[in-house]
Amino acid sequence: VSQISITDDDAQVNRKLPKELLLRIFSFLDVVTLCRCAQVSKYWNLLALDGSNWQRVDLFEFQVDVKASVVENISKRCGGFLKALSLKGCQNITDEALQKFSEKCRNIEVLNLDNCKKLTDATCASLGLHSTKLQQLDLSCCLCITDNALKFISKGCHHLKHINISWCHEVTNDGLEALAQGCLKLEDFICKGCSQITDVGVGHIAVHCKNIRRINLHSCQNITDDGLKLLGEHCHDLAFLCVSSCQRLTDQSLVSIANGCPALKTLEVANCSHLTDNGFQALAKNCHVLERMDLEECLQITDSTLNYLASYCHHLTVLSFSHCELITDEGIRHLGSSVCATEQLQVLELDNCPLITDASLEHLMGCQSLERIELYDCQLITRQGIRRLKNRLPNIRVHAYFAPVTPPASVGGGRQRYCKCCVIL
Amino acid sequence: MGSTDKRGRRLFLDLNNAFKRDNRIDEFDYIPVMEPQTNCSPVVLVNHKLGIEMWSLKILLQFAYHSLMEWRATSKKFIESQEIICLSRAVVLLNPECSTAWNIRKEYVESGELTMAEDLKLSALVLTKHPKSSETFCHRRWLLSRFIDIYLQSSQGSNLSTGSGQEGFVSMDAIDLNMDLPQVNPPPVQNGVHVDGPMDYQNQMKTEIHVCTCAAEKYPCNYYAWSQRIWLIQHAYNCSSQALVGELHRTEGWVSAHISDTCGYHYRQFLLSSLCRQRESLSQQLSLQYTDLLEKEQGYIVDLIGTFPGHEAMWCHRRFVFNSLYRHYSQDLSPGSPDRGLIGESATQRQKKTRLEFEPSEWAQKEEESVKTKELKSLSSAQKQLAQKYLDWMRKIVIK
Repeated sequence: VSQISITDDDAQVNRKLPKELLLRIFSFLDVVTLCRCAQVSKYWNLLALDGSNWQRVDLFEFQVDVKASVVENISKRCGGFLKALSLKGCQNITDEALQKFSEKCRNIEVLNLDNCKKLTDATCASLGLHSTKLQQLDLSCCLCITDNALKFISKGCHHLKHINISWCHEVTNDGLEALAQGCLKLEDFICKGCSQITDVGVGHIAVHCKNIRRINLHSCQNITDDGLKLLGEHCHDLAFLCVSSCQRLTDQSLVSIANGCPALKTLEVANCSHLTDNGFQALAKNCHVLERMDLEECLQITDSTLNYLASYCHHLTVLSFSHCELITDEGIRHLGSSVCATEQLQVLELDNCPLITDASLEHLMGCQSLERIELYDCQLITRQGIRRLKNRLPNIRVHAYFAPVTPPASVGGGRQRYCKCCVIL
Repeated sequence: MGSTDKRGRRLFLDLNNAFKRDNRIDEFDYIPVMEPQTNCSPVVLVNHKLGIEMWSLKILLQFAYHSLMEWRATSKKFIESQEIICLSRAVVLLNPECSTAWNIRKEYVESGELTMAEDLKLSALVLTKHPKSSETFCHRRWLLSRFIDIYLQSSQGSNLSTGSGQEGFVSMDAIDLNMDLPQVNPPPVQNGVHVDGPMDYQNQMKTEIHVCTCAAEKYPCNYYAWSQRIWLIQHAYNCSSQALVGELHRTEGWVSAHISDTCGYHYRQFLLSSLCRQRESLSQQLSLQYTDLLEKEQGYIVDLIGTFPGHEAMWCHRRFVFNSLYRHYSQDLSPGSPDRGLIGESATQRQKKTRLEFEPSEWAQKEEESVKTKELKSLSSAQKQLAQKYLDWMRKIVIK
């Protein structure tokens, strides 16, 4: 770039701005705009295609149109500058393209291969060999990935902090063992729908990854209380746990978490129908910083759970009790008078709780931060009840089958009338 | 652009849940509730019947339609295939004329993520509410064509058909077509290959006839339903004589119960015309004479006219039958006609018949007499008028 000299014939922008600033401006642009800029002039071509502008590349917009050659060209162009690449949804990408990519872009830190369905273990072999700086890897829905892929990763990517292998059905406990032993810095482990994973696999992660903070085992149906016991024993920094649809879990799991994970902020246990008030009592008493909880379809819980949560957890912001059929106005009264209610509570889902009546809405009138409440199929809720709530909390969005109420007329009744020559002060 | 009514997504979920709860839903309709009286879901599912309260239709359709179109227009939104399939289902249930939604479903059938059986089930459900939807029938034809192609490919080289194949199609003549009773046979296996899994050719076509019949019942003079039936006879049964005769028999009862439905008569005319072209195979394989069928039809329609005086549709059909017979008899006399030399009849026998019974003008006179003595003297003035028109038509047009 230094070989191009700027003369007085050039455009203002090129004369006034030093190339470092132009580069800085270009660094904010997306792929498409950069390519357009590259066609403006020779000078801009050099600047726009300068590697430093291509540290983060997102090809999600192009998806199935992205072919191997695109990835290869980007790899060549960006080389060592490329730090983050998203190929999410690019279903036509193959192993060869990624092999070339990993060879050329050795500084890659964030790689998203979500739904790149044609990729196999070979890609992970390449990554394990060359991408030693990899920190985040997303392989969800790459259905051909097996344990071998994780073994490859574990050999080379020791700085891996975030991995997502959701819906990779072929993965088993062995893969997790390799991963856990190789990637000791792992913080986020997202593993939805991996039905072959059992407590043993979870145990590996728990034992070896001391920094683990987020674990997602949504729909890993073979997980039992034993697995969560291991989590409770080893993962004391755990902040996010999702075990929704792991239907074999019982209150024992909640006790384990209560005992071992006091830092827990988010807990999702939707569809875990064996959980009862007892488990949540234990949880509430020990996990005081809980903020978001999803208890959808935990059919056995009663107002008692709400009482405990209200008493012990003062930071609750998002709560879902959809389909918790036993909940009554009494439980909501506890919630409404809790510490978290006035300032913290933002979202409350009560759809399909048939016992809820307008009284619950009364109890929630003090929740100043409440943004959204779900009331679908709460058959005892009336239009009037909703209107009263909206009058107290004008910013709230109430979701029910009734047509959304139009915003009330401006406070103070109609407009003030004044003649055109006068001014209202 | 797009509905800001948040209820759309919830209604969509309610609909999906209904299908999840019951995969044997066979009927669908709107419930005339204009405003939600209580905070209840408008989706009602009872005994395999699905109902949706009318206040929610627009909201649901807008949500599903805009979500679908937005996804289609830009690739910015990544939506899972199952979600798209569910969205398209919601759209076609409420607006079956939306070809885009059907075409999206075609793509998923081609990719295998949606089975043909599933889509046939859905389109049949759509027809219970929208029996006149041409797009739905069109989609069914596409599905069935695919099915027939796959079936033929897998049955090539098999010994399923023993009759003479016409132009490479599987000849259905040699197969005993029992078109009335639904069979629960195991799926046919040709050369070790299952024909599209549990889809049985016979059952599928019978189901299609059933669907056409139901649609024809729900809406009078349902041109699309009857066209579908014709298409089926042509493509799935290859106009085999057995199928044609079977259909002639089956629709007799229906037409008698829907005497003013011109589509029913038109269908019988199609059957008879097709049979005319296949006179030879008809007599060879089924020992039936085309002329016998026509005369039977004559008797049938005259009977109906007598029972239900004053319906123009029946007289139109009578004209067709008379015209066919007259032309046919006229042809018989001409030398070199294809009916000469029928198996089983000596030349003298044929000549005798020709002189006495097949003499067209004599026979036409008989018909004229019959009308004059019966229908023209009817008490119904409408009947008299129609009879008179018929006679005029006979004299001017047919008999030259």
